Amino acid sequence: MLPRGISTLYASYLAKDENECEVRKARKTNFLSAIVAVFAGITSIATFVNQLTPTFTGLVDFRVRNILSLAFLASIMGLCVYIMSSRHLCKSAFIGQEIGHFNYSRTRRIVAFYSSVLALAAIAVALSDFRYWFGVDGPIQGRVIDVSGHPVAAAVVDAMNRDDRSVCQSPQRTVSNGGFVLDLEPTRGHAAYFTVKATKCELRQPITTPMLNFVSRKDNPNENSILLRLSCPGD
Amino acid sequence: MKILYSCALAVLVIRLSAPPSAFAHQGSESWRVSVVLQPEFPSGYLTNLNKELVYPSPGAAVLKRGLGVGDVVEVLPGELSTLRPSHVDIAVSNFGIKRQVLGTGILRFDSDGRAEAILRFPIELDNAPKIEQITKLKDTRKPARPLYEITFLNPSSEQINISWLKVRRIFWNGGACMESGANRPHFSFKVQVYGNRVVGRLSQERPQKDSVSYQVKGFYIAYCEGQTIEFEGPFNYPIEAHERLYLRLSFVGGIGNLSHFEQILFRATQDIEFAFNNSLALSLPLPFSAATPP
Repeated sequence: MLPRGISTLYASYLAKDENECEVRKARKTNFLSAIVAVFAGITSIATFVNQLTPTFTGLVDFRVRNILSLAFLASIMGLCVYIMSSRHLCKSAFIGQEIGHFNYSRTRRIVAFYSSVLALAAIAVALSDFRYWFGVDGPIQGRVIDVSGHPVAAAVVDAMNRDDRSVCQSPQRTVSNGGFVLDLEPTRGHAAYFTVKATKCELRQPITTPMLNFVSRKDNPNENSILLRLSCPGD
Repeated sequence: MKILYSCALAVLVIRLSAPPSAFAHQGSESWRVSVVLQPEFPSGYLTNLNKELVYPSPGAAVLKRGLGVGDVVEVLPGELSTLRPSHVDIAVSNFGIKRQVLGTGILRFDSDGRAEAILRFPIELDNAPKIEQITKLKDTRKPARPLYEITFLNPSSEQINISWLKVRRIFWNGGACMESGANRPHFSFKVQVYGNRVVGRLSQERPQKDSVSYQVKGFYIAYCEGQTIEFEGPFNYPIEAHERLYLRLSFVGGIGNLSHFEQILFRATQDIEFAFNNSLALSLPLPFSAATPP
């Protein structure tokens, strides 16, 4: 459906080559290829940036960002595939038979191929964001220590989602032995980071271990404890 | 397939639109948390801990003194909320000790809504007064009285008050009271105090001025049972900020004076305890051997 729509869209830009075959006018096809490549690059980079940094937090909900990113990337992939694979039949003046021609030149197809690879990688990254959509329920506990291994008291600990919003009922201050308990709120999404704000320094630590390993449940009395290490002396 | 999609969509919508409390793990049933505090004091120090509820916030829960052996507190639902907490944080503080916030960690409630936690924690002193030295001196008077010199240090920036004095003797090998249950001790005594205060900032030198003479009155037998007898009474003597105080305590009577015979026969020991600002107590054993007075 999509290639046919695009074919219709660009039908007015057709021209005839030396074999009297209809091909895209060079200027227009250059423009389309360039647009595809630029969109692929921008969207992919945006996806990677979205994954790695909180640049886009606060603009729109991370779930919306996720969907938008995937939609853009899917469109880009479709265009790339179309540019790479679209052909038309044309009767050759030399052999008198219809032969298949790629609609777009080799250079543009190569550009589309690399764009699709980039978009595919970005889609994989964007898909991985789905794990942050739904949070887990229950309390988790842990300790905060400084570089010398001493507990950090009165530091504010929180768990944040992809929008830099807390996924806990409330942030907690560490007690004198550095311990804390966070009550997770599943509707706010899955925690992506722990943040620790002490007087002298801050920590933003991505969650590498599945949160379910830490969550205390009635049927799982052997919950693990999180250890957060500040990279500077504590208070 | 459409039904499957509809169900998935419905779950998604419910999860995204439901209020946070709808998925909270806590129930609204009644609950009670018992917390046993087991402080580990530095040697010689002792005090009652002031407890304050940090989490759940006051209003959501209330802190009450609990029943049981040791320092037990109970946390009960407050007026504003009956949500069962995942944990409890309690702050402990008092004069001379560092304020600490203690956490129970994740609580486990039984079917009756009860949870218990034991908090063992070391007490850290915070500018607490110290007894730097305690020496038994030879008394040249006749009859000789037990004479002790005690060096206090107030490292804090505020004046403190030695508010209470307690003398305790324990007979490891015999009874302390004359008659069992009659609370009549073998001994009666009074305490005379001669003070020398160091006016300079933590100077080691002893000025000869600013001496005081003081007799402790109102001593009474606070405890006399079995092998232990305790005398105590108000003391009320200030130590200025950043100052040392040299006190000489002379015991008139039997409590301070353990004869060599008594030491051997009863294996008796005795110690002295001062309370500062009516809260922080510091006890030390009274030495037996006498040194020459300076």
